Amino acid sequence: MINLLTTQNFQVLEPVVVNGGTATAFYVDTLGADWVRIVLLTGAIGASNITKYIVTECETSGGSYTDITGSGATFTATDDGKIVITDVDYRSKGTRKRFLSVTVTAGATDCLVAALAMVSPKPGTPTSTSNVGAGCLGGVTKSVLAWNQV
Amino acid sequence: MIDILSTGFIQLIPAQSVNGASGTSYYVDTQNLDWVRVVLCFGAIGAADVTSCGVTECETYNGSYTAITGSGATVTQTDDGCIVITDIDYRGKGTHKRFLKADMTAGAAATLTFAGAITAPKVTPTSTSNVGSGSLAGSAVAVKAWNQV
Repeated sequence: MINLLTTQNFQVLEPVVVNGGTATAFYVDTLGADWVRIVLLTGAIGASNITKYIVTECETSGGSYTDITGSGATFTATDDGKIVITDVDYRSKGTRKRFLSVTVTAGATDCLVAALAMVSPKPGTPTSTSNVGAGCLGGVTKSVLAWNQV
Repeated sequence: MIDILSTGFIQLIPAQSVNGASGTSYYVDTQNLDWVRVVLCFGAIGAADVTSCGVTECETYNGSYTAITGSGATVTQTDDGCIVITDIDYRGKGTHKRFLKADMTAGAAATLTFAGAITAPKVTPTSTSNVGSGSLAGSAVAVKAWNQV
């Protein structure tokens, strides 16, 4: 069992409009993690569509990321507001590389996309904004502004 | 302990650019849920502070939603890329209402945002039909694919 209450959340891809190019994504350092869920969220997709979406991996943060087979999805221009969930299991598999990111490429019309990562567990249960979302993320300048428990 | 492998994910506010208005949120029906984490994410925030953000609740899905005290944050125009997380615990508390929405109202400048809810249901999701839509109402679309690699 992996405890949801010990997970951390990161923006792998901040909400962005992609048009005729590939979005700039951050990476997640999975060192010490058992399991990662990456959720791609789409807003309005233009007529030229999202031409590629896939989760990528690399042994180094700044290296050349390669596609993880079976981690993507094929979109059509009518897939506004969809989500794609990819679960990456690090428990005893040993087949995955340390750093994860995503590749989103769009055709020549505006496509609104974003991606969120849930990482569980890192050592210790998150106790504040400084570790509920910032502990293992690299390449990001802003992380958790507030963590409310109500 | 809540097993993350039994959770679902629901889009409350699809990725969108909002300017001087509120992002349109779907709602989550929390009946039979133990716990919900609402994650409100921002991309580039224009030259105006976010007017309000947080989580709202209502006893009926189409009623008048009210803000949950303590669920918000002050987001300014320099907070590009930030996340606001709100955990709502339904186990034995009985203090929250059944339906939840995310609230995000942008100032008079384009603000890129989305919001999602991580839900801990009593039934473990097994397919795209329930990993993201089991407790969601008001959404025309849900999970496109669920990959396990």
